[in-house]
Amino acid sequence: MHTRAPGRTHKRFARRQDGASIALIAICAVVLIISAFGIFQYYSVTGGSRQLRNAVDAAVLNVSKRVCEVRVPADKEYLDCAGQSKQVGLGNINRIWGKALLINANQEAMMKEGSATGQSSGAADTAFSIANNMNTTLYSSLTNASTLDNFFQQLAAYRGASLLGADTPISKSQPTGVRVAMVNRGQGANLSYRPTQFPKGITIPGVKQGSTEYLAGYVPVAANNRQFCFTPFPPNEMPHLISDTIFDQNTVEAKPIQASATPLPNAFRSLGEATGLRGTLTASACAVANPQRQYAIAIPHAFINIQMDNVSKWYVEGKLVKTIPYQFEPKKLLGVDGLPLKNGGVVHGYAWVGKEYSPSATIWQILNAVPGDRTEPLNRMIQRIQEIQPNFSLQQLQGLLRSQTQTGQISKYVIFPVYQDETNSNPQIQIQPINGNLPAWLTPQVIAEGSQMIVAQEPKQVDSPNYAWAMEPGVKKRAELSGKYMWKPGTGFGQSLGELQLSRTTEIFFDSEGP
Amino acid sequence: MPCNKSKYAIRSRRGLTLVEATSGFIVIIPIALGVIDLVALISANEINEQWAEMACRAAATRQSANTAQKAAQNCLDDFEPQSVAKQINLVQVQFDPAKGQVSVVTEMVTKMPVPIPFVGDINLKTASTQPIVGIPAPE
Repeated sequence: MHTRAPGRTHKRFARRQDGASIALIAICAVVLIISAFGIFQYYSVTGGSRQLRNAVDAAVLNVSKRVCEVRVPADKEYLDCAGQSKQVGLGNINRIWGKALLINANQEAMMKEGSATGQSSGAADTAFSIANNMNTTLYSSLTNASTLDNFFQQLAAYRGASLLGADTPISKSQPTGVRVAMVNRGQGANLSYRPTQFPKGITIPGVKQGSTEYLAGYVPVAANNRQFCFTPFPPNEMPHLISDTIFDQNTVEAKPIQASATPLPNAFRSLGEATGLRGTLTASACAVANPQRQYAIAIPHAFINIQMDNVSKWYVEGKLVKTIPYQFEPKKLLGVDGLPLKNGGVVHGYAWVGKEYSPSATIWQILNAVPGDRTEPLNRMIQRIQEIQPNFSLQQLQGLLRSQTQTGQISKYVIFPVYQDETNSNPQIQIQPINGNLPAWLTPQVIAEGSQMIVAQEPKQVDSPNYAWAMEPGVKKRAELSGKYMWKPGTGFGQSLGELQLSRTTEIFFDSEGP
Repeated sequence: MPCNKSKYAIRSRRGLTLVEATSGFIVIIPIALGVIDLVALISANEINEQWAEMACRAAATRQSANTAQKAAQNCLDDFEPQSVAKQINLVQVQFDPAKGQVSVVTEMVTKMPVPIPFVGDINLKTASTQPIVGIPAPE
């Protein structure tokens, strides 16, 4: 049994009590300091993570914005769609494909109606091939890791995750780089169209937004047995962030694009990384691009021709004896000068031709000089002009043809667009004689590739307004005026979208009278 | 006098505890108040960063420096003062179409829950940079 002296026990107890408050306070102080440190560390990590996420968001948004600056040189056949820079990028690639689509739609329609030729087929092939080559070149540039990483780094350099440690930079996470996807499938491309712009029998899938129709993006658009692929850029949208889920569902691996082997991406994703004193954090972001430029489908540098001619054909006893062209004004002609008739006599035959025309007639007056239905030729002209200016109407065509007076012996006229600037948008359609003041880009010698076909005929006008007479009595005479409209379609690849030819013929017959 | 001795001893211990507690509180209380201020500052800085980000994103959707400035200001006008975060000011908007970037600097006037002697409100500054998405891609 151990016993302790009471005084000793009391002394030890007293010593413990003396230090109790100090120890308690010290412990509290340490706990407080540790708590403060913990709070600061927690805030640093969560705050640094937030800074990183915001920085990666901004950097990927920069990629989706600047990707429209990636361009490749435009082929000379498509310079009219390439704007001032003469280059092709995400912003105007749909314009290129739009022109190729119109050319191929023209070829398909020509094949259906039997006016296609080897030349027109070759033009459509070449148009598609060139557009495809530019698309492939652009695809390579758009998926170039170095280019996309530069865009990422360009903005990431201005951001940091300071809470992870002073001057912690944001860098692209290796080795994933920037990945691409094709989102907004089935939504509108930045290319509007009107169904009437396409030839009869050609239907194009589109997306209607308000009163405007847009070509559908990443959806196969077929013409002339080819697939055309447009990149969707919905109108009134800016480049913006999208969720990882949407991105993952729209990669080419998750959902292949049927219309193209090299579909141009419109969404981009990157992982960002920040390594600071408090560790390494990563964050990812996805963003969708939008050039915010809208175009109308068109072949900007194209034209159509109108050619008019008159001829008088002289027959004696049913046999053609002479052909004399005449101008767009009344004229008395001596076509048969003392030719024998079956009854033994001779005939000196005259005729008034060109009486269908009034002096200084406009093109519209010339076309309408003889009764007849001109709906088909006019519709064909309007459709083709709408391939240049989508909103062109019959009234505008009438106004245009009324504004041009036929002068001298000129019988060929060109209808073409004039642009205010090098964007080649919103043209003003003009008409000029073939030797008139034409734009520098226009090559009037180019002829439409298709084969000519009659699209309308005027009913015969007998002995009025043109008529014949003979100097000799006992001669039967007759003058028949008729006209036909011939349409020679072009694909538009070589500028010519078609040629309308109006040929009027006055046939004059002289026969011996009676049996 | 044993009774008197014991009384003195108790009184002495009580005094000692009081002194210890007092000196302990002198240490702990400032630390605790400092922690409160630290949490307030952290919170205010986080709020400021979020508003700067929002203001910068709003400015990035505009096409000119003037409209960007207005957009950023409009965004900050929605800020509602709190007990700690008293006020937020737009310090600078740098709209640079050539670089394609806009930077916004905001300043948050922070009232410390535990005032620090001779130090008034603390102004926290933060900056955010975003790509300008409001300008269409070049032709």
